Amino acid sequence: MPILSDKDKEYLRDTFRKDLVNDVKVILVSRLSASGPECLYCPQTNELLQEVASLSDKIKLEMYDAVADKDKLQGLDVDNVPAIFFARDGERNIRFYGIPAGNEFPNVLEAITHLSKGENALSPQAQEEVRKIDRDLHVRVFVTPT
Amino acid sequence: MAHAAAMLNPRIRADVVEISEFPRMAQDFQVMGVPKTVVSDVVEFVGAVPENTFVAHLKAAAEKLSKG
Repeated sequence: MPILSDKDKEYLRDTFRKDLVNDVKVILVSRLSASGPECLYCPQTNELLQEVASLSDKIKLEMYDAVADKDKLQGLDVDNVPAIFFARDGERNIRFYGIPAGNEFPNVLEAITHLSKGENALSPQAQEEVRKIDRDLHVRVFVTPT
Repeated sequence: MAHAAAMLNPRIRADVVEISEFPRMAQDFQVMGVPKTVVSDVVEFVGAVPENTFVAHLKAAAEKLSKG
């Protein structure tokens, strides 16, 4: 059963048509065949991202299986599935772990839109400060869906 | 904001983790309230903060790491 309603799809298709400029990669590392306790939310996450990607040809969805595609995922340091990476180029530093539903769905759409447009949610002053950081930082933000 | 920071600086990796799916991580990082942010295990804070506070936390973490 589809996750997004026809109305949601219509709205998103329209929004993407207006907002997306450059291609954005959405890379999903999941369990593509297995379901059940091994990865309870993988099937729904796979479905949701496929639906979203089908609404714009600027969203390039790549799907990998965490086990079968292990060789291709070397160096990515995927510690949980489902894992979703958002990227313009070769960077893999923007990630979401879990199903991006509920409150997190708009944040994921924002990540796609901002990457596509080259926009940023931070003020120009904050952007300058962040660009100056010269250490490797690993930021983890723990959220709940509601 | 974490994703926004990562978009600007490739040295920043931002993971947003939907914690109800990964209870072990919630335990490991002692998540009692959300959003909880942990920066390289040296700085942590709970709650949504204004961007200047967020950036200050990132800078504080970078400074702590520089001092070793």
